[in-house]
Amino acid sequence: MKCALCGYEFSEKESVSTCKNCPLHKGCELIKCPNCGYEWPKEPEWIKKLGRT
Amino acid sequence: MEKIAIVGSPNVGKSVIFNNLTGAYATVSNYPGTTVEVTRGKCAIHQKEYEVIDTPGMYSFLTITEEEKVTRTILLNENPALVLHVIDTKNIERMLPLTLQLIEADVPLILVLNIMDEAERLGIKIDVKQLENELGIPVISTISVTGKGMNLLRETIYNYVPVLNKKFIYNDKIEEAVETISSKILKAQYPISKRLFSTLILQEDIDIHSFIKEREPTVYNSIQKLIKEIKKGYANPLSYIIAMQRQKIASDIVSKVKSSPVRFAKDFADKLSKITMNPWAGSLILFIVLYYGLYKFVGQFAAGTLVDFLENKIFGEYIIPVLSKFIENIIPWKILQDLFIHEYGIINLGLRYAVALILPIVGTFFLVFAIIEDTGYLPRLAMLIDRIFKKIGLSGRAVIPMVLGLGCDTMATMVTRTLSTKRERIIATILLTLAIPCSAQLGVILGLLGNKPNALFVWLGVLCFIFLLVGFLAAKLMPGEKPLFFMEIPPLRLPKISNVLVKTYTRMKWYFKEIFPLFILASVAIWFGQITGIFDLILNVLKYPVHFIGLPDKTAVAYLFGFFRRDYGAAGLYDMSKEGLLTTNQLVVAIVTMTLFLPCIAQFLINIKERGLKTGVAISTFVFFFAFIVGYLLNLVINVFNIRL
Repeated sequence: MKCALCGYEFSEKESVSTCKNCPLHKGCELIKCPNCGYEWPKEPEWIKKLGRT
Repeated sequence: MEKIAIVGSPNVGKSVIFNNLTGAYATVSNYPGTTVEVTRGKCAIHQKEYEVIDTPGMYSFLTITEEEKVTRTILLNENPALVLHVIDTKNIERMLPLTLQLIEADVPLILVLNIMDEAERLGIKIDVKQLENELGIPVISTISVTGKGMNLLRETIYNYVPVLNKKFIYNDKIEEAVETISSKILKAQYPISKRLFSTLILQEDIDIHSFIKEREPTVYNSIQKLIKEIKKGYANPLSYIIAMQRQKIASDIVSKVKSSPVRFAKDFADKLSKITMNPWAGSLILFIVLYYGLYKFVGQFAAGTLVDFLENKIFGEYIIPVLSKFIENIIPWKILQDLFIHEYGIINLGLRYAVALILPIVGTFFLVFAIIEDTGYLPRLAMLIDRIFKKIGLSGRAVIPMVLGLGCDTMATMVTRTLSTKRERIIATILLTLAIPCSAQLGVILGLLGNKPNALFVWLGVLCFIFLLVGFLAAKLMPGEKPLFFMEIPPLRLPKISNVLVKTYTRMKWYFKEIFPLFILASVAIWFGQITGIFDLILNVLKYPVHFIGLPDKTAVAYLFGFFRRDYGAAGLYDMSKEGLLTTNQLVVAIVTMTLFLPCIAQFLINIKERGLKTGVAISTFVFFFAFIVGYLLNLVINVFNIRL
């Protein structure tokens, strides 16, 4: 995925590793850019599946 | 065994090239002392064996992320016999600066123009031979997913003969400084060229400075003096100046080797991009975006027309009467009916606020925000306001938490962690707690003041003044170095409808999931407070600060709502205004005070979590009293000068 602010491309796994220190990360539905910290909500699974078809 | 390091930005196909070269066998392990994974494998070309390293994504030698640091360490410490710089051909202009740095580092280098198929589909053509001449290194074009170009790459690796790398020249001052450091000051041997080391020294890379301090402590003072001297000649940090000059060299090379059918569109986009970052023209564009995007669309259309329809028609005529009748029929006790219906019930208050008031407002706000985001305007906004932010001790990087604060201040306060200094983090937390209204509150306010432009102007003026004043004073009270900031600017583009809709839907869903339980909980808490008498007790206490700023008693209810969430409180003011309980003057005072007020309980807790107990409580206490003092002063000014808004 690509950060809408800084253009950094990263995987969801990298985003999760960035959130490790946050006390609220369990169940959090936000993606966080590891480069600049910009956040946005995760795309729902059904939209991802729709995009693939 | 000779090593081959594959480097490049994320998502350029490094791993596919790695797999093509090595086959199925690879070992993945964390780089020592880090959590960053590095993949290693073996490949044989004409019976000659190589160890191939797939390095983590890297944008520049001037590292920011842990991944970049690991890649740089591999290049510095593992002395690879060959480096393959893999780039996404369609983004060649953005990626070539790292090629230039690798050439500057004097590493044996091959440039791999990957994802050539996508570039060709866009009509982009690269003159590979000309690019080889310009860079002085072998250049291979590949489509790694189909394997096209991989045989040529293998042959080029096998036949690689080290050459003396080309030198790309910076402007006189920088070039002179680089020469002085590399040939006169640095005496020891370094794993890569002294020229690249010198540019990183000038760019004040912390790790490189520590490295030099350790290896040549005697020369460190001369380096510091030289940097100080060079910096005097520039308004911007040297890291920015050098990055810009390197980008210019890259752009000049690309203009000679690349042809694209969309030249006209690109030229126009480039010009527009520059205009958006110009202080005057950029401010005008920002004003237009805010006026039509927020004021007209969110404030007037959503908070006016849409809310009016949902609240009066759908809720007023259908949902509330039907559900009220239903509750009254099945629950005979008034005390229990109050939990669901009547003035503060879950349906009349929590559900109505969440669905009829907040949902259309945040929905349209997120729609506008998604359009702005998808065009690539946000990084330009960061660059535009960087110079203003510097005056208040922040950098353009702080635009990220500030923009996110327009969605949710609590979440934005956590993002202040990404700011580089403690001073910046404290200033940003104060400003977020104090002067950044969240999207729902902003929408309700725009709805309240949408038809009262003078009142809206006063609210906005006071807020901007407080934002700048408090920021300026905080920066004076906490002196420190000016923060550094520059960021890569992605191309300006037309927003894609699918992207905008998905982003809007995703954000609305997330926001609604966040606020709906809280609104219901607040209704239950108020109901509980009512039956126990705590509600009236708190209202009696709150009447004093409310009187202090010249507002009627009932405003205390809205402020009590505001303790749960600021947008909940703003919705309370919306109800009062609709009932004609507030004059426009009082409305402005009430809204200014509520905007400056502590956003919510969650914000209070996160201030403590992020800034520590002492600082967190101090910030929240300051904000609480400051909000009412500003409200008092505003009311005083309005009365003394007999202003009618």
